[in-house]
Amino acid sequence: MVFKLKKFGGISWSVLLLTFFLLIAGALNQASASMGGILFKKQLLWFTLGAGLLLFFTLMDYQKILSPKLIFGGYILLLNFLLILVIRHTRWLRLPGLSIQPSEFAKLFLICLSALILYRREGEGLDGKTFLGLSLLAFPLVVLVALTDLDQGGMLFLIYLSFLVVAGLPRRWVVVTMVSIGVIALLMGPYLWGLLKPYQRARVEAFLNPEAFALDRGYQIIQALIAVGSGGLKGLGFKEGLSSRLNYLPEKHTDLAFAVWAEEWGFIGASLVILAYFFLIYQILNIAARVREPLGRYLCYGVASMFFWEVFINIGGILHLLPVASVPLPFLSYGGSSVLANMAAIGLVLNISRRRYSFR
Amino acid sequence: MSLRYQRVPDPDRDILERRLRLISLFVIFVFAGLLLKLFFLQIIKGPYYRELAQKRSLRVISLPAPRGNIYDRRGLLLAGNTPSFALFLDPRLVKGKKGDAILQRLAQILGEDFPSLKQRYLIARRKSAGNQVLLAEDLDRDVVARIEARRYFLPGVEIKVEPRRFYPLGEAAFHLVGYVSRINAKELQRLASQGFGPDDFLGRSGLEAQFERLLRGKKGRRLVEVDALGRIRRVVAEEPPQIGKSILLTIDSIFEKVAYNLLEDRSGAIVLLDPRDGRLLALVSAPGVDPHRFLKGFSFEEWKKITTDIKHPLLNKAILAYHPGSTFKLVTAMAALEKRVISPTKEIFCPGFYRLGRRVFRCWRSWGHGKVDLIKAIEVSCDTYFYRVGELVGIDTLSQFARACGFGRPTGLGFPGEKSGLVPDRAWKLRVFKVPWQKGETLNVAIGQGALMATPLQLAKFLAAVVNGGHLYKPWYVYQVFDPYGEILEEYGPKLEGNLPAHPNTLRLLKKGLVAAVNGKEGTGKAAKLEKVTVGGKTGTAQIVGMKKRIKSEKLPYLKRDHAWFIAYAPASKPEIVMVVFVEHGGHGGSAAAPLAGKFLKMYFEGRWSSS
Repeated sequence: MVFKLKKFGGISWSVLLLTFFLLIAGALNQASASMGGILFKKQLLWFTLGAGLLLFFTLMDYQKILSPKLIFGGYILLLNFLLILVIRHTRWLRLPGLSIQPSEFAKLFLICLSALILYRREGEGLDGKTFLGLSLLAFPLVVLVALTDLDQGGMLFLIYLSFLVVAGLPRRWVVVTMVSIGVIALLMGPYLWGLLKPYQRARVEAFLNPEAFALDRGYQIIQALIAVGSGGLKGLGFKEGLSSRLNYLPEKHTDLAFAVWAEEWGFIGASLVILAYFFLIYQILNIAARVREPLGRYLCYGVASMFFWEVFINIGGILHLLPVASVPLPFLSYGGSSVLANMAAIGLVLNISRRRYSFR
Repeated sequence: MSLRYQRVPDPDRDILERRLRLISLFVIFVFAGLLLKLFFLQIIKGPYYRELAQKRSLRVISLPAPRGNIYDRRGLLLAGNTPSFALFLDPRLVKGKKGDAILQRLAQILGEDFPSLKQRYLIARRKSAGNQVLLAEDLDRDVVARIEARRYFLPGVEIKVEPRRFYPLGEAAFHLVGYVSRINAKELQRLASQGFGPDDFLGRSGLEAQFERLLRGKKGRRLVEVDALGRIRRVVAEEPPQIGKSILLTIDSIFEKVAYNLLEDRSGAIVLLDPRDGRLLALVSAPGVDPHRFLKGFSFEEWKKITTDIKHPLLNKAILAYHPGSTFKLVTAMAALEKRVISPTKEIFCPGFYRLGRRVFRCWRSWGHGKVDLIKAIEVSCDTYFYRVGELVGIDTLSQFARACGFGRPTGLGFPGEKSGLVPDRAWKLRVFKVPWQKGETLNVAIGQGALMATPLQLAKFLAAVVNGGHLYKPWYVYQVFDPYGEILEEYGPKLEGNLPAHPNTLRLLKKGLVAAVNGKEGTGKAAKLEKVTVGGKTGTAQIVGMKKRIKSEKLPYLKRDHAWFIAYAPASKPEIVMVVFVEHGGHGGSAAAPLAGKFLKMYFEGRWSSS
């Protein structure tokens, strides 16, 4: 039997409650951003499907399901899909009735495989074998995803880096890597700059000086700042946001969903959501620290790093701390693949949390 | 291979836990940064961004206030409003390549070619200084429908319904009612603080200018939310416009129209007055311009044509000053009778000229009138008689009487641009020409020539006083001012300026002369005679150029021809209408002006109006 219903007790209620809070915030936000339109209804459908997935991942025996054969098989299948996307030059796998964004699931596969590798290695510290394994695993995913969606490719790369850190990458390596990146950037900067696509260059330029590009590239940043700033302490109220209601915010359903939220719910609502993300990530890291089961620990760590980078890059971009990148904000951004992948990840965390103190 | 948990000491435990602690610190650091930046944006810079948001998405639209109406004494409209559709573009949205696409679409709808439309837009945009740009006015309902149907594809394009000035009498009442036209850049600078916008109209002449403050309403304002594509989504607040006040005149638009048409293609003026209280019934100047043309503006050629027309369509001849000619002989006669320098029955022989010293002053009839007394002299308009009388009266007395009769100053109507005319005297001559008065000049003034100048309106005011028993009323034409709900705000009535310095007997004699001039055998104004009603009147023929010999006016070039005058009143027994006809360069008063008065008075008393 795959499910162990008996062991439903003992899950991390705080993770479940925080997720629940973020789902409600996400539903409210979609309701406002789409003015009760089709996207809101579809998002509710994704939430429902996601809840089922969450339940499944909470109750399954992850050690059995996440067998190397199964995961590796899935990984190969995923690579094939990604290859098709690269050839077709699209981010979306279109099936009749729905379209899937495989890059969202690529993150989950990367986390599971990395966790497996770290779990199965021998000894302490980052040996060459582990490093090679992690890198060989991550490389095709990062490259294939980045070819159609640079931002998601970057996300995968960040998750890979996060695993390297926790795998025991020596501190001097970290220093050496950062210094060498700096030197390369300095020497090769203009050349690499030339390699970037125009829209990527535009993003960086717009980040540095949004007013100078107010009409095209900086528009998104300026409108996002106006939306967030005009929220003030209490916000303009549900469905009352000027920027979203009057369509000044581009991508208000997806990339800039947090700007809609901040405008309508003000500093009180926006800081609550940020704190919710923080506690969610903190709780997952906590589970990772306390679970006495290595695979679970690495899985939790991977999920936490995924959420962390998504939240940081999305909200950091909206608050003008980072260049804007097209990365969905978990639970607040519209998107079926993102919702399903994130809820599966939460399910996995809940599953692991049950066995914090289970010894067998 | 199974992944069963095995109880082995975790080799990574130390390093993972240690790293996790560091990682947690990093996470706390990042989230603290996010919260701090959020606090900075929303709490510290909140008011700044809120203002930006409002500037971006809230717009104040000014709602035009319809001007008040102008009605005639019958309640017929002289100036009103009619809805008109105007096309406005938002320069913030119509620019660059997208703007070109919008203009291209518009060009197709308007049936104009794209380059000329774009050029027009660019010029108008420079003028509008960031405000909405007015691209086209007076759109057809067809065009409006086609634009509204494609509204989604035309962001920044707006059709506004604007009240537009409408003048039912057209050019007939042009000089009386005046016209409105768009405010120009200089005026806008001066008036912007009073709430004027670049597309507002200002009253320019006539009543529209005189009562600008009353007629102009107060503009309303509407606060709206505008979305990213410039489309209005919601009205946040509204302050409705206040319609201007309306004016009820004593003018009769039928008289106005008929009088204007009587002048046909002549250049001249007709003034109609009720002598009983001085109310103005018509104030006509011809030719006029269609006032609607000022709403759109003129092309350079059109404007040049109007301003170089020798008939001066822009000048209101009813309030400009000309030599009054023989019509002024009434004043001379009045002065002579009052000062008793001559008895009304005393006859003077007219051989066709009058000799003063070495100078010879001609009578208009070169072979003379023979023996004439006062009544006869008025009837036949004998110059010799009045040369003699004028000489006896002297310029001091004559100018004093002329002023007492209302000459030499505005009539008190309050009409913009009204001239004072000129009553010459010794002091004036010395002041202006630095030479003393010549006796011969008195003779010229006595027959309404020389430096003497009077407006048709002044003559009407004077004649009204002569026939109503000596009461000099200020002409008036505003009867009531009322608000859009019909509430009467102000009401006006006759204003007596004074009395003529004349004994009733004097006035009786003058009237006798006036009746004789129309009804007598040799009367100069016979053309105005009616069968059933007794008309009194006096012709006038004002010379423009001094000539040794009389030449028939028709043979002279237009600009050198005499001005023709005819002043009339009727019925003689109980006067109820005074009419002044002035035909610029029309020739002889008896043949050019009197027939017009005759035609009008016939229609007036028979009550059968035909405007041709």
